[in-house]
Amino acid sequence: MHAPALGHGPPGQDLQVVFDASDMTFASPLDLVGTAAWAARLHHDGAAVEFTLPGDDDVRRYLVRMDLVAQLSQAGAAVRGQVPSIRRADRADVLLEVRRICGAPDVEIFCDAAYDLARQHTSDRSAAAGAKMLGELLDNAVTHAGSPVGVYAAAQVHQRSGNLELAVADAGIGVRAHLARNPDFRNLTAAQALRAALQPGVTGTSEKRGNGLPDLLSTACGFGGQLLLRSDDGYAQVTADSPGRQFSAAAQVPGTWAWVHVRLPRSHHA
Amino acid sequence: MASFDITGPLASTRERGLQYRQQLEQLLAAVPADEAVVISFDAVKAMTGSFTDEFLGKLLVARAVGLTGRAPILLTGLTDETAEEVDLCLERRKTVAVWTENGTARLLGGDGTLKQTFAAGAQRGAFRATDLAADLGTTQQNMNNRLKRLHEAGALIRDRQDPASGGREFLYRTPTPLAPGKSNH
Repeated sequence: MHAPALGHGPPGQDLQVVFDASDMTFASPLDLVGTAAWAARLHHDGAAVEFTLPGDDDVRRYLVRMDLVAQLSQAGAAVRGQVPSIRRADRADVLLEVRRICGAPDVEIFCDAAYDLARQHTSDRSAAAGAKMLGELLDNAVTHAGSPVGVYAAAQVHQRSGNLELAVADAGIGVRAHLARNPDFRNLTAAQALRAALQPGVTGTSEKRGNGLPDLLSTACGFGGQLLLRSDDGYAQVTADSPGRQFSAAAQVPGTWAWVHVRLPRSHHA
Repeated sequence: MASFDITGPLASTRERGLQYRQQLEQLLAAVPADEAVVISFDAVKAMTGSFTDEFLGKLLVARAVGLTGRAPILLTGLTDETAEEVDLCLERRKTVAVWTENGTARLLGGDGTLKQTFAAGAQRGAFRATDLAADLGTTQQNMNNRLKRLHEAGALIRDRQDPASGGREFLYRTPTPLAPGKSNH
């Protein structure tokens, strides 16, 4: 999907933003939650937001099934293109649709649902670990992001491989601005802020905390997985299989996007 | 015994941890210092570090410095994973808690020395510092310091004894659940 095209309408009209997904041939949960958060924030800030559905029928149906279209509409975006009518077969065993999370009670409910999802494919222990990682990401987002439109989350299990994907996106202040509240972490680039946030004890608060992300990373790597973070123009990717961590500058996104991908061991009943 | 149940299957947020901490502080204020408060995690499959820190980490630190009621706190119903989460949290907060299950007691948090000391004491039942110092091959002074830390954190109960030979002595024991009493229900 192309980054949203920004344009101005006639004088006196709001900024117009178009998310053009017409060429999209694949979408991951991260694409969905990132798009939802971005569109919602733009609309909140006064833009007229439009989303063009993919030309690819499978991708279009996936976006509808994962409730991205519904979330965009609720967020005030106009959806262009034919919205397919799909039979909503019960796929609660592999899909946890895009949901807007507005506070701690929503986090608890969504994490319970993620646990139930993962539990159908793996052991109690592994499912709990997966839901715990999601809990850390979501609690971070609702606590620190300061997003006026909430946080968006989704999850998916790939039935054949047993891989679990977790995705969380907010359109808040970003990691750099959060850490800058702590005098020890002012004047960082976005990439440097992501690198710092993955170290134990690093926090933008005045409290003795800041272990959530490092612990999450440790859990993800324990499952042979990877963590991807984007915040402002910062990008961080940490993979269990690779010897190092990658931190770089990338295309700007509002707020913070997080994606976890892990290999869940199969349980005997999966 | 006062009981406090954590609902599950997951405990994910700091906000929920804070709510539980505030409720437990109220319970501790109402419970006598010689009656244990048992926190049950039977329904919990996983806890985030954030929840655990906001709930238990901060509570036990506050208790150790006298900001809450002094009733001993016992943890039950932990799995290996949730016990590991509590252990890590309390280690970082430099405090401890007693995990009791099926009649056995283990120390969570603290360092290896404190864990060893607690385990040796739990095996003895009731003991004096001199007894344990001999068991573990350390000085009485060292043992007094360890036991003081464990007592202040609520991991040990101590009763003062005045021996006939004079001076002051303490008889230590691990806290155990007593008769059913108050709860958060």
